[in-house]
Amino acid sequence: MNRARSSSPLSWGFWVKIGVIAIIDALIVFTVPVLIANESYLLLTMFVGAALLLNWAYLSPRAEASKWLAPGLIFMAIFVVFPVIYTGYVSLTNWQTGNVLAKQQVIDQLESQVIRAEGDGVPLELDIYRDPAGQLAFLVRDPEGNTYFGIARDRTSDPIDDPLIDPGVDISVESPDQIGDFQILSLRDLLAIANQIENLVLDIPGQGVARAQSASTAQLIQAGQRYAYDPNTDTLFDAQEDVTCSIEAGNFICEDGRRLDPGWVIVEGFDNYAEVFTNERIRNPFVKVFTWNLIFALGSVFITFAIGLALANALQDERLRGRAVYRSIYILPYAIPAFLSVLVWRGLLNESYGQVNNLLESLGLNAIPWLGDPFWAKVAVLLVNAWLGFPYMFLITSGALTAIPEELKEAARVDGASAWRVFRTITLPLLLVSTAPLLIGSFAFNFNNFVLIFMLTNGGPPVPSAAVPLGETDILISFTFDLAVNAGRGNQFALGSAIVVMIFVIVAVLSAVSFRFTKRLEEVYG
Amino acid sequence: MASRDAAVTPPAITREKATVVERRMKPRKWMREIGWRHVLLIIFAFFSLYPVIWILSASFNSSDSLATARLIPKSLTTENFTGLFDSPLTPVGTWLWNTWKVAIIASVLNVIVASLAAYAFSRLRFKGRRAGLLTLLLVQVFPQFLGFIALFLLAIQVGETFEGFGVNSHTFLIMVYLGGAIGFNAFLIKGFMDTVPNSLDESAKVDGASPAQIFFRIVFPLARPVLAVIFIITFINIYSEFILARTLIRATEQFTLAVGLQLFVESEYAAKWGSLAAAALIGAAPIVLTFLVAQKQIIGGLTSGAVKG
Repeated sequence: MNRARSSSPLSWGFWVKIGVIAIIDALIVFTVPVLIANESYLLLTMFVGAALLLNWAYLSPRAEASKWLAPGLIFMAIFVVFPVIYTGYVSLTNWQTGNVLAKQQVIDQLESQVIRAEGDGVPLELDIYRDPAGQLAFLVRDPEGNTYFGIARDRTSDPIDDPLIDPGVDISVESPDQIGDFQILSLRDLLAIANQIENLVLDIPGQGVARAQSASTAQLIQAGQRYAYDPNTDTLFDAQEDVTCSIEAGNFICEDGRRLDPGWVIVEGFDNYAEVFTNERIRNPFVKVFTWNLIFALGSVFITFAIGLALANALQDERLRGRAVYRSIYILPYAIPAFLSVLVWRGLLNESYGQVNNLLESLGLNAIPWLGDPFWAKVAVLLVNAWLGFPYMFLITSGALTAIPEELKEAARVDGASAWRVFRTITLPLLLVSTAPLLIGSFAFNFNNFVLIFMLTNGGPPVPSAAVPLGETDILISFTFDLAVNAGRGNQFALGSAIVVMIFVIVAVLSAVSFRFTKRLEEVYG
Repeated sequence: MASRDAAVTPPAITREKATVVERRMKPRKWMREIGWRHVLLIIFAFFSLYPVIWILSASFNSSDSLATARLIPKSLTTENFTGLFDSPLTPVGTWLWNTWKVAIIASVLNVIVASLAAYAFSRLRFKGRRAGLLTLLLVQVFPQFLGFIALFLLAIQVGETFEGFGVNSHTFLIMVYLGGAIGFNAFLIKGFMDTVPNSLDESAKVDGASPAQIFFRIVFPLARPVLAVIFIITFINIYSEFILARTLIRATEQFTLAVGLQLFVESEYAAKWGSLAAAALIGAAPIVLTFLVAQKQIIGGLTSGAVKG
């Protein structure tokens, strides 16, 4: 273990390092053109930024600390910090189903559309032919006597290259029975394919598409680019309707009032936030959800704390038998992954078959519609959360209770205070001080207790009249999840992000308050 | 980290002594001072055990349906368990494998990356150290899962360029989890490393050891017990994580246990009660056993800051 070996550029560790960095750089160099081609500038920034940081950290002789920090820094930056910032950005846009592309992608997509005029085409005479292989061909004649013969295709299929065939005979007045291998179809043959005739078209390059209307008539429809984008005026011209479409909030809106789909993503500013507070279709559900969210989180903390404290207090007496057994039993709900126990509770609370109702009925009580009734669903949520949460409170209050000096209580008792009074004036205040940050933490956790709500009631029972997917037990995070990710009515990424930003603010305030109780900051400045 | 010590169980009294004291009392005094405690404790013990008993009973009950479930099954069977692994619509075995794979890889990498960062913060003095620590502290304030919309949009964009690495990809999910717990874990590990006396690495430094050698030969081995606990906690958290997995994984074959079982329950609850109970038992058993074995350490770590999910 000598200095020369460890820092020599010739040690094996040095070459491993160079090798790893070379591989990473090669991968980055390989992906950069792909990302540029895909116009994926976000990913490009991330990749190049990460690569630069790695190269600097591991190649610069002065960057000792960053060698240790770089891997963690990169993953934290991309998967923890970036989502926070990106959520903020998305909340300022109109990003939702229908507005997910970039503007240029939308223009490209619209410009690729062709004119589809119905009813306005030039009427044509039509004769249908077939060759021995079953290939169908059209002979069409327009009013001016121009005649075309070529292979027909289904109108939903891709155009055929060079569909027209030189018939080799004069077809301008009469349709011959036979053209090359093709035989004109008899009435009987026509009847046999009657239901597919109207789907057949003949492409006439330079003219358009001849589309069959019956066995003997067709229509020449001029095919052409429907929309043309003019970068100078930033407008789109609709050749079919002969109107100009101008831009309005991430969509083209035409003079005739049509809104063209798809739209693209634009930054709108604080519209989504304004929406939450002013648009009744969003505001009313939001207020409802937020109110219940607060009640639920506060109620959960209160109930679990009360149970936990009662149990910890009861177990405090050292003369009690079976303390270890009780303790192990109370830890069980804490040890089982919450998603599993919530799913089991959902079965137990089933209205018709659930064991809880069976138990109630065997005690002579009525069955309760636990998950189907607005009121009882809320009770069920609190009940299950009491089960999930009391062990944690039991653990922290047990610890805190033993930390309260016995002399204090003893002194009060000597002064003649009742047990209840000792508890209320000495034990409880001291307990609240020592557990305050944990209680705030528990509130913050329950405020966003997605697993419980989503798995137990799925936010339900649904509120029937709501303009957005909404349930009686929805909390902000489950409401947002349905709005943005799980949506049956489209993904409202931007609106969802605006609500998430509000949750961020709430969480930040809670943490700021709880920091005042903890000594964590001393670890930074100490 | 006062709360961590506070959560440790109060000094236990030996069982014999408690028994003797309890027996010696007169019934009325016993009721007033001890008895009511037992009443309360037993009620909540029942509450606590209620779903657990039903999981055990239903998973071995030969009738699968919720409607016909009873506490003492008429006949016992293991079919609920074996049936989990050969249903193509609900491949619980695959989901379990996915969950273990993702959780183990992500938490191993996480502990490694976090201890590297913790070492720098604990042992090296560099510009921006304080700002870095403060940032770490502030960043962990925001629970990662709140970024689910942003991560979903990121996954879509990654998938457009790198097919197979976006939505539905375990690689992406692992990286998300890896990033998610670094801040919290680095802070915990740093706290431990601060307690390892500096004199150890000072003397190694005198002998000519590089920071890397000090880390791998002195600090890392000393920190192993703490790292093991942090690994277990991270593993349990990832194992139970739901909202990000639900957002990022859409294909049945790729589901984690939480996502798969949720959709399973959503579709065919009442008829498959026994199967669900069996799946819950298989899913919970390893975690509960780990908990019981390393109870003190895990609870100490958990109550020092985070609330278990």
